[in-house]
Order: sequence, then C-alpha cells, then structure tokens
Amino acid sequence: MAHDTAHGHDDHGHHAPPTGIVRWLSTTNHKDIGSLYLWFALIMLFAAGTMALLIRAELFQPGLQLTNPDFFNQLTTMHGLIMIFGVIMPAFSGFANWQVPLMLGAPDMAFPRMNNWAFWILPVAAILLMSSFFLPGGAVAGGWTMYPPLFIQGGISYDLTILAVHIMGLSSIMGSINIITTILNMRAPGLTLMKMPLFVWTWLITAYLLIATMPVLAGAVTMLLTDRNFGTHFFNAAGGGDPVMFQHIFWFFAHPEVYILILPAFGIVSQVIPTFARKPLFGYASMVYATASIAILSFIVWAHHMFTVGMPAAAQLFFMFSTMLIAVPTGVKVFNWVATMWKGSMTFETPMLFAIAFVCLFTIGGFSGLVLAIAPVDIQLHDTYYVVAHFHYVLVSGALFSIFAGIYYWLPKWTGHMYNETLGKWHFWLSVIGMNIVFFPMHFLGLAGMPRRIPDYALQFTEFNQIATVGAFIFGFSQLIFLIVVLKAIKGGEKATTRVWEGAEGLEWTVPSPAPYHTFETAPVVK
Amino acid sequence: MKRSVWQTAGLAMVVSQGAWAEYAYNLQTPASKVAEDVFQLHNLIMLVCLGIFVVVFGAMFYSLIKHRKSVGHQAAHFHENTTVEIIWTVIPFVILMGMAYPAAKVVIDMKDTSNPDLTIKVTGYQWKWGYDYLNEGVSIYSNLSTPRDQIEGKAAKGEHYLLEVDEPVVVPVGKRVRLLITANDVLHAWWVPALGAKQDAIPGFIRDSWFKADKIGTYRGQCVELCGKDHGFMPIVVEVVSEADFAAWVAKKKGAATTAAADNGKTFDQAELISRGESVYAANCAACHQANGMGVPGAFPAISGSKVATGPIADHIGIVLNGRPGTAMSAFGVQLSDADIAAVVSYQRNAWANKLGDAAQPADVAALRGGAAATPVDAAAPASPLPVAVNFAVGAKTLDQAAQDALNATAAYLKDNASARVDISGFTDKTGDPVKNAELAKLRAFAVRDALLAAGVTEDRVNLKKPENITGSAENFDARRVEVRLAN
Repeated sequence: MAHDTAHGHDDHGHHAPPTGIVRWLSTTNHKDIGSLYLWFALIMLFAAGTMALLIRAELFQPGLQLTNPDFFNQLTTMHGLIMIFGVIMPAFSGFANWQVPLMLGAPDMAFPRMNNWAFWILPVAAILLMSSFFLPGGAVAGGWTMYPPLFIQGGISYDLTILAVHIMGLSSIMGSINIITTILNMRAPGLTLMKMPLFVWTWLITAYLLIATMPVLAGAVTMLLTDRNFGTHFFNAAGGGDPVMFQHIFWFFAHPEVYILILPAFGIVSQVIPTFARKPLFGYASMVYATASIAILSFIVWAHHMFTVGMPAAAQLFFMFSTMLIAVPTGVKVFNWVATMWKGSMTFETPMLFAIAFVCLFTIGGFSGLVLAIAPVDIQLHDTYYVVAHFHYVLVSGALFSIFAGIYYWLPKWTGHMYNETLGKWHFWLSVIGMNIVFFPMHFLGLAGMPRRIPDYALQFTEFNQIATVGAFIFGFSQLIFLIVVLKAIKGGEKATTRVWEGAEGLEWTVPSPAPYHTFETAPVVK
Repeated sequence: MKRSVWQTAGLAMVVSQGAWAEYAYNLQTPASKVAEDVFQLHNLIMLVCLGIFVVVFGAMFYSLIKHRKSVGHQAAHFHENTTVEIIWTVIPFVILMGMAYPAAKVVIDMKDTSNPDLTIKVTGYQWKWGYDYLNEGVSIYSNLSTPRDQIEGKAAKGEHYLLEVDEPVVVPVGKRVRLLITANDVLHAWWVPALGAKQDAIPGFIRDSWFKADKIGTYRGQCVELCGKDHGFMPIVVEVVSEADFAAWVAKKKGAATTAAADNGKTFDQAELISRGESVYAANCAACHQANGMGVPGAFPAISGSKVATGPIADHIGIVLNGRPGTAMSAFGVQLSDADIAAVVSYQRNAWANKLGDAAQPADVAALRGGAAATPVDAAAPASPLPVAVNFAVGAKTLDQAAQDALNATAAYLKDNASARVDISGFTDKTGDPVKNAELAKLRAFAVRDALLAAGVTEDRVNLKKPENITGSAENFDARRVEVRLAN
C-alpha cells in the first residue's frame, strides 16, 4: 500500500454520504432507512386516513351523498390495504431499523444493501396501488381480504393490486431476513438472548411470522392472478375449485399477520412503561414466553375468521377453543404491564400516556376479540360493525397508539431535540377521545345488526353513525398536530441529553443525542 | 335477570339518556331459540369481561393515582413473582373453560339441521335473493323495494328504508325451516339477526342453516358478505305467518306461476313488450347498466348504442340467457321467464339511442334456451349436452327449473340428431329404506322420461334402465339424480 494507514482507514470507512435525493436513494445506513420507512408510513397514514374520513362523511347520514356504492367499496378496500401494508407494517420496520442495531450495540443491519432494496420497492407498490384510482373502473373494490369470486370480476386495478401485494410481501421477507440475522449474529458481547430488550424480542418473533406467512399470501394471490388471467380454476367450483379454499389459505396468512401488526407494539410498550414507571419490566421471561406462545397459537386459529362459511361442528369447536386460548398469554402481558406500573414512581409524558391508553384500550379490543371467539356469538356478529369496532380497537388504539408512543419516546434520540410536550399532550388527548368516539359506538351498531362495508344504512343506525363520524373528524384532524410536533422537533427545540428520560435503560441511551450517523463501530460490552 | 344487568350497563354508556329509546345498543330481540341462546351467551361473556376489566383497570388506575412521582412515591424494585404469575395464568384459563362449555352446546345446536318441516333453497344473486320452496314448488325472487329517489335523497325515507323487499320469504310459525344456501355468482351471506341464522352463500356449493321462528311477525336482515357494488342493497325480509296463512300463500303463488307460464306461450305486440320490459330492466339490469343505459365506464358496459343491443337479436337474447362467465353479468335464463326476457330484450333494443324497431317474442327465447343460445341460429349445430345428471331434493320426484332446462336442451339435441337415443337411470342416496328408494329411483326416471316426451321426443328414442340406488358420490345432493346418457 502506497499511502499511510490513517488515509487508508478514511478511504474505507468514512466517505461523506452523498447529499440530496441520491443520499436517500443509495443509502445503506440503518438510521436513514429507518427514517425513510417512518416518513413513508406517515404519508400513507394521511392518504388512507383521508379515505377513512370520506367513508365516515358518506356514512354521516342515510342515503348516498358523496360517493356512489362502487367508489365507496374502493375506499374501504384501499383504506384497509394501505393502513395494513403501507402504514403499520412499514412504521414497525422503521422502528426496527432505527432501534434494533442501537439496542443491540451493532454498527448497522446485517445486510445494508438489501435493507435499501427492501425499502425502495415499497413506494413502487404504493404507486401501483394508489394509481389504480385513476384507471378505468377505478381502484380495487373487492375488500382487503380479496375474496374470490368477486375479486375475479374486477378490472385491471385488481391485477395491479396483486402485483403490489407481491412486492410488499417481498419487501417484508427481505426486511425479516435482515432483522433475524442482525439479532442472532450482531449482539454486543455479553448481550445474551434473554437480556435483549423486549422490543427486539418481539421483532425477532414477528420476523419469523413474516417469513412463515408472506409466501402463503403470495401463493394465494398468485392463484387469484392465474384464475383471473390464465383460465385456471383454483377458486371456481365450475372447474373443480373452491372459493372457500382461498379463505383458508388467506387467513392462514392473515391471522399471523394480525400478530405481525401487534407484537412489535407489545415490544414498544414494554420499553416505554418501565422507563416512566422507573421500575424494571415485571415478568420479563414470561413476556418472552407469552409472545412466543401467541405467535405459535396464531397458526392454529385462522378459521375463526370463517365461522359462517359452514364448517362442521367439530371444526368450529376446535377453532373456538384454540382462539379462546390466546386470551391466556395476552392476559399475562396485560397483567405484567399493570404490575410494572404498580408501586412505580410514574410520570406522564406523552409516550407514557399513549402506552397507558394502549394497555387500556387494546384490552377492550381483546375483550371484543374474546366475544368474537365464541363461535355462536361470532356467527351473529360476523361481518357487522362489531368486527369493525374490534379490529380498530386493536389496530388504532393498539398498533397505531404504540407507534405514537414509540415516536415520542425515541424522537429526542433521533433528532437531538425534545418534542413540544404541550402539543404532544394535545395530540394525545384529542386522539384518545376522538378514537373512542369513532369506534365505541360501532360495537352498538354491530350488535344491532349493521353490516360492514355498506355505503348506506337503515334508519335505526343513524345516531351512532353520526357520533362516529364526528369522532372520526376529531381523530383525523388531530393527527395534523402530530405532524407539527415531529417537524418542530426536527427543526429545533430544547437539546436532548444522552439519557433523555430519567428512567431510560439500554444501549441506545448511551450514545449521544442525536445519535451520530455511525454508532457502535466498536462493540460495547454488556455485563 | 342477566339481560337487565346488561341493559343497565349499556344505559350508562349511551351518550344521551333522554333519547335512549332510539339507540339500539344490543343484539336484536330474539325471535328463535338459537337467537335467544346467542343473546344469553353474549350477556354472560360481557359480564365476565366487565368484571375482569373493573378488577384489572381498577388496580391500574389506583396505581396511576397513588404511585406517581409527583406525590413523592418511590419506585419499588421487584420485577418477578412466580406465584403471582402462575395464578394469573391459571385463573383466566379456568374462566375460559367456564365459557367454552355453554358455547359448545349452542354450536352443536346451531349445526343440527335435521328433521326440517320445510326446506327452502336460498340463492344469492348480484344483487337479490332467490327462494325455491323445494316441496311446495314455489319459486320467488326478492328485490329491494326502496325507491331510488329515497336513496338519492330526493324523497323522504320510509320507515323500513333499505330493509324492504317486493317479495318477502314467507314461512309458517313454529316450524323448523331448513335453508339450503348457495350463490349464483359471488359470495353472499344470508342473515336475519332476530332468527339467529347466518350462513355464507358460496357459488357452486350448498351449505345449510336452520331456524324456527317463535312468533308471527316480520323479521329483517341484510346480505353480510361483500358482493360488489350493491352489497348494501339486497335485504332479506322473512314474514312469519300462521300455518293456514302459509298454505294460502303457497296456493296464491302457484296460481301466479301458472299465469306467468301461460305468458310464455303468448305473442305480444311491440308496445306491450317494451312497457313490460322497462319494469324488468329496472328490477334486474339498471343496477349495473344504469337507468339511462349508459353503464359505468370501465366496470359495466353501456347498452345504449352497444354492439350487442344493436346486433343480431339472437345474440342479444343469448347474452341475457347465458350471461358472460367471469363478469358480473349473470345468466338471467335461470331467473327470468321467456316472456320477461323477450320483453327486456325488446325494451333494450328500442330504448335510448337504440331505435331498432324490432322485438323478441317468448317463443324466440324458448328456441334459444339450453346452452345453444350464444351461437347464432344459423351457425354449427349445438354441442351435445349429454351426459346430463338431473338432481332432486330429498324424497322428491319433481323436476326443478334447472332440471327442466337441461331436459329441454336434451330434447333440442335429439331433435337435431335424428339417430341419437338416450338411456335414463334413476338413483337415490344411501339413506332410508332400500325398497322405498328403489321405487323412488324408478319414479324419478319416469318423471325425466315424461318431461322428454312432453318436450316432443318420441318414446322409441328413450330407454329406461333398471332402477338403481347405488351411489357413486359422498354428497347426498349429487346422489339423488337421474342420469341421461347417449345410448350405444
């Protein structure tokens, strides 16, 4: 080597990153990619949230006012697909990218280039999905569950949706491989598996769920694609197929998917509550085992989404009992969180408020889940607004609130500035009040017999629909406060300390705020 | 007792107590035992959930108030306790076992569809319901009857807005009604909350459900499986009447069917056809193709100015009869009579921009029935419809519309192929007395033979094979059949 060692070292490790758009397109840095995921999720949140407000505006009163039935179905379908694949999943991937290396004391993810690719195919999928609104026949309108034969009937946007789902699945699989490899191989010396922060544990288990189920979804939608275009009859009885087979395959993917959408939320909340209770997480080991139990059980409960397809009594009983069992590990988690708060020394900054709301409201979603696990009651409530209320309690006050908690919690570490606590509290209270006004009345609507996915309804459902719509606009517009809080924290504000929170524990709180572009180039030692 | 506790709890949650009577906040008042069981089960589980919620979150909120830094509480440092953790794993498990037992009993009861007093085949269409009373021989279609003006806000909404139909399902009170539920095009789901019966309707498969209504009255429900554009506009109305009223209703419907059948043999003038066709169009076609015939671009093609509606009339009738596979255009040949199809085709060819001036007669439709219609009349001879299996309801030996269609196609084929002859074999399923089954198989074969003779086939071209009751299929519906094959 002609040049001296110091120069050589510079050449290998520390190119100044390119600037402008090229920096973001070519980045292999886990923090950049984490930010990209989170911004992508935020943009999609506003897109799919706008669709939700259109849905609620149409449902403000009986009759058709703003939409026609076909466009209404496009809105409900796209709202569901984007919120799941474009908001919650990418947001959790963003957290994983930012936090997993920081929490493990690793310099970056295991496969940085694949990491870049896993993110950048996501906007392609989003464009395929969203652009279909402008195609002849409009966007996909067959429900996010894509049930044939209805899904076979649609136009070109249905093929684009299948393609988009393939791409998003590919992205998730690449992300999961990256996360698993990072967690299993790149932990700091001394950081054994049972010492890992719970957020890392929940993501490790989530990544396995993704790898196990995403190919199943890909298979199901590929069969849809060939049924649509190449004359196969996987789901057509006239050709020897079975439409119900699609539902079995789909829910074999989609029930574990439900836990993909909630396990990282459990992880975030398990980081936040001990910090603000100033007390270690109660029952760490049982939390890990409960997470794993939920993941394993998720593979044997899928047909509880299908109690009305006409299964034999024995199958109904099996899926009812297995579904009820999930309440046990989920209950353990809730008890552990409450026990963590018990005899703590609590303060109530915005992350803690969202985490407490999570525990309380997610449990309401858990209880309505238990009600729906009882097959005869489910048969009465299936495909009604009760189900809509249930899954929004677990996905909005569950997954989304945990994301808010996580953002407020780690934003000072990411930006180097404290967020505005007053605005944060406004965001919290408006969100939690708005969210309950939207979704609580939906329980009553479902019980009284209002089917889901209808653009117009009978007169006895009017009052609760009006209340829900008012709540939706409160909830929707209060998210603009969140946007302002984030932008303000990026621009400036009170300097964050290294520790940020008095009770914070873990390796991410040992690096300066904002976290430097490269961290843990020398692995820390955990005792 | 349980219900009143829950009502009190529900009342507390209702936002405006003054208007509380208008807020339906619980399951509908049950009108059958299954619905009542579900109601009680739901109350039980709600009470258990409420109890757990109060205990767990009572503890949490106590902690939130007492164990905060601002009141000077110092954090304890415990982080596990095996005994406590075992207790709160075991207790929920025991509670769940307590819930599982009553739930399982209801599941088994709901699945028991045996010994029905009345069997109705329910078919979901985009977007209406069809009902065939298998033993009474009555068939009806049930369409939303709420006027368009109410939906579009041009008229005041009626009391049963979106929950009213032109032809309700009528059933006798206190009788076990078994529903055989299927669909014609996409998934639908049949649900009447007060009767506690909900079952997905799956094209190509038959699933069953049952109810026994306790009280005379009108019970309303809706399709609950997303089935496309007008999913929200295909309600279900069940009229529960006394046994005498039910018998009278059946007689009336049979009379109406005879009148409709007589129409198929008539010839109408063009004006009659067009005016009749306009109402057929409004009930069956306008949902997709729109009242102005312009369709919805990219989703549903226009009829005004279309190639089909301005092309050869036989092709036009063929599309209406047989539909377009893989699209929302269903085969209306199974839903509408020859006279109605002739009328709607005549209307479409003379409405909007289509001023063709021609008309179709019921006889033209009849001539095109049976699978050959999509091909123009002067093209190649129709493909053989044989072999064909005609299915029967339990114990029945009468032919339904599908069977009649298949046999008409067979007769048409025999007419075109003067040398062809057919063998007819009757079958029953395995259940029941073998001697009676053998007799039933024979009677079924006779019914098929008589239908072929009635359709103009001469007796020398039909061979009756020995009666059989051996079945080749596990599905009883498939087993109850008569097979018609080409003779060697």
